[in-house]
Amino acid sequence: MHWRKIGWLILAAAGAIAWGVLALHRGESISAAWLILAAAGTYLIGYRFYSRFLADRVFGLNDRRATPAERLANGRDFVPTSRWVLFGHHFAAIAGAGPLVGPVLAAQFGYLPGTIWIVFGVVLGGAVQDFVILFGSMRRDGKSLGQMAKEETGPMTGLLAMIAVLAIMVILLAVLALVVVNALKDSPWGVFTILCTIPIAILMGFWMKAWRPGRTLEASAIGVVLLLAALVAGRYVAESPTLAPYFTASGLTIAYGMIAYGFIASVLPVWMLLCPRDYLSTFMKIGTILLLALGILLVLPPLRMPAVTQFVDGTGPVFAGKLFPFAFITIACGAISGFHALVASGTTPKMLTRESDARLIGYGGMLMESFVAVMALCAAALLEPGIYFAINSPLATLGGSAQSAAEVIRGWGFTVTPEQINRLAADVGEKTLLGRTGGAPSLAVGMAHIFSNAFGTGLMALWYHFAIMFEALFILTTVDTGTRVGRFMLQELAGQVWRPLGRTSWYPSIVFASALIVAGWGYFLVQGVLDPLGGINSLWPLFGISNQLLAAVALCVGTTLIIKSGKARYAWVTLLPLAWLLTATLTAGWQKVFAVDPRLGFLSHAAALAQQVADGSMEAGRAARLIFNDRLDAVVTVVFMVVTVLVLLASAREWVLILTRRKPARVQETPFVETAYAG
Amino acid sequence: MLGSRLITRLMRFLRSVAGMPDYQRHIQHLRQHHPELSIPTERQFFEDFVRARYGDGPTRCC
Repeated sequence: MHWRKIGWLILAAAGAIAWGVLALHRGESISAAWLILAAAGTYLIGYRFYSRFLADRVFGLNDRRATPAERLANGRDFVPTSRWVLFGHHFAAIAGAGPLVGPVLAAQFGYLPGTIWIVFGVVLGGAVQDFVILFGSMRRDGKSLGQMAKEETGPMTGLLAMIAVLAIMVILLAVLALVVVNALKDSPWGVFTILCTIPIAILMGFWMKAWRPGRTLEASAIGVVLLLAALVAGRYVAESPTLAPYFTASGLTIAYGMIAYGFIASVLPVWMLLCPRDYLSTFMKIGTILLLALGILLVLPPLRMPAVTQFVDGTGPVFAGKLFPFAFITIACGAISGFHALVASGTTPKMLTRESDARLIGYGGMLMESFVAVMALCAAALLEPGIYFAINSPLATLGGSAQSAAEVIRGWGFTVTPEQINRLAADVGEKTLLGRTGGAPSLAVGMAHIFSNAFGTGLMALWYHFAIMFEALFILTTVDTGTRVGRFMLQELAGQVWRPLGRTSWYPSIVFASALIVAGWGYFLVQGVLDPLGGINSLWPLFGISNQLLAAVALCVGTTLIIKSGKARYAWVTLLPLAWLLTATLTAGWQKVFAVDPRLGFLSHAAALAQQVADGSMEAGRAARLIFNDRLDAVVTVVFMVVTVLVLLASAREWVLILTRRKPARVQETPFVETAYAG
Repeated sequence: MLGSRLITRLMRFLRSVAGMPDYQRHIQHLRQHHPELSIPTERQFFEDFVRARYGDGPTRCC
């Protein structure tokens, strides 16, 4: 007992020292080891003490209470699952491109602000959100966030939550698709590899459905092997003068291709494309993340990015806006992500064997995702800052050539030569890396550095394209599953207007709803591709705002659950992160809409464009489209903010009614049933 | 012998992490708890599973 306490003290001290080193260090570079140590130490302390407090005091997890997986076991979706398996499963479901891209973009502020937000945000906010929603859903037979909102706060809140989810889905799909477009444009190697994933998935689909039914592992193994073969073959395609032109596409062509793909994937039977891709990307994701962790630990790369850059003042090229509030919406996934509330109230609660497992899976799973975000930040911060900004700044800022880019970047105080920029592109087998905004390419360069240092020298190009393929693969999986989920939600909503539209297997309804969803995200995607600033500039903040506001909705529901279960004295565990999140996100939303600086505010940007037309320095037709898009983005942001405030007000009304005893504190939990499991 | 048992366990682990259906476990469950129900073929089971899994609700995050 004594020794254990000493162990925790040592761990706490090590973490604190690492934070101290990170904060006080001044010099050329610092080892990533400090970052990893600070993060890991904080996670372990947070898990051991804070999640324990949540589990025992706030939620009162009770292993004598049978879980839905036990009571409703059907061997299919309600399956008691061992906790480490479920941990892996849940992690694979929550960790996607979000925690990889956000931290890379936020690295323009330096490595320190992002790290602090990722690590403390998750321990006090993100992991709490996932845990409380998983807990709530587990006590309600695996009900969804929307259903819980409806039952605990009223039908209006349920409807608002549903609309919020649908809207965030559209923005999410658009921005993730844009990340892929920016990584693949003018890259025959990348395009070839990603195109190959489609026939590979279809082959796997037929394997599992028709030839060897149910042999899913076999099919996945074949899929992974073929995928790696396609990756290697991509190099020959890119180097062949006859083949390369067929696979070289502009951003716009790729965007339309993805829109068509999203539509087809949504109307095809799932076994043919969606299900096999899902498996393929799950294995690739888990494998690559393990490999990345191993690589970082082996190499412990020095971080070249300064702890804090001058761009905290809001003049950064990657995205506009000051450190506060924009660091806190740029990094959503990894610190706190509203989207997780959907997974934590989906498949996972139906598989928990014991109530106490929810701690490891809900809280621990999110810590794991946060660690992925820290690794992504390391991968971005190990690049020379000059290289980082050459890849992540919009072409409009950098000018078209390596010379002009080096000049602009030197003006910011980072040294980089045109030769360095060109050599890196050649090293990774691309014509250019300039202005490849969206985070994926610079992350891939960072990962390629780590991998080639750890596992194989001189394979930079292969590792780079491996990383691009890995990111594009699971982003495309999000795009097709997301389109499909959006289609279901739209059908459900539309069914309330006209009954037949709600029939999820009625073909006209499928085509109609799929087309609407695809058109929704497709519109924003094309807008992003045509945006002279590269699109990520305006779309990523929109995504961050929507995701954080969904997290606020989830925390409102979580607070209601806690107060209703008579634990109002502990309601601060969700109220504190909620207050912080609302402050940061509503400020960011307000600035994005109303800021006077045209780089930042949608409306003032529209006004500046109108002025350019009046001056005659811009063609009216083109400006009209950009102005419309600015106003649309402003409206979408305002809608997100209004929906969230309405949910907050409705929830606060419940809280006050219960606290003033005008309404009984009673939760809608499934009644207690004693578990049949021994011990 | 030990090796093959290990591989079977590893395969089961991989399958469940990826959320793949386990036919053997399902029919075991049916035999134990619902002896009155008929046992589906592997093909039928797999088809039902895919329909249930992607039927509604998000299963993947950003």
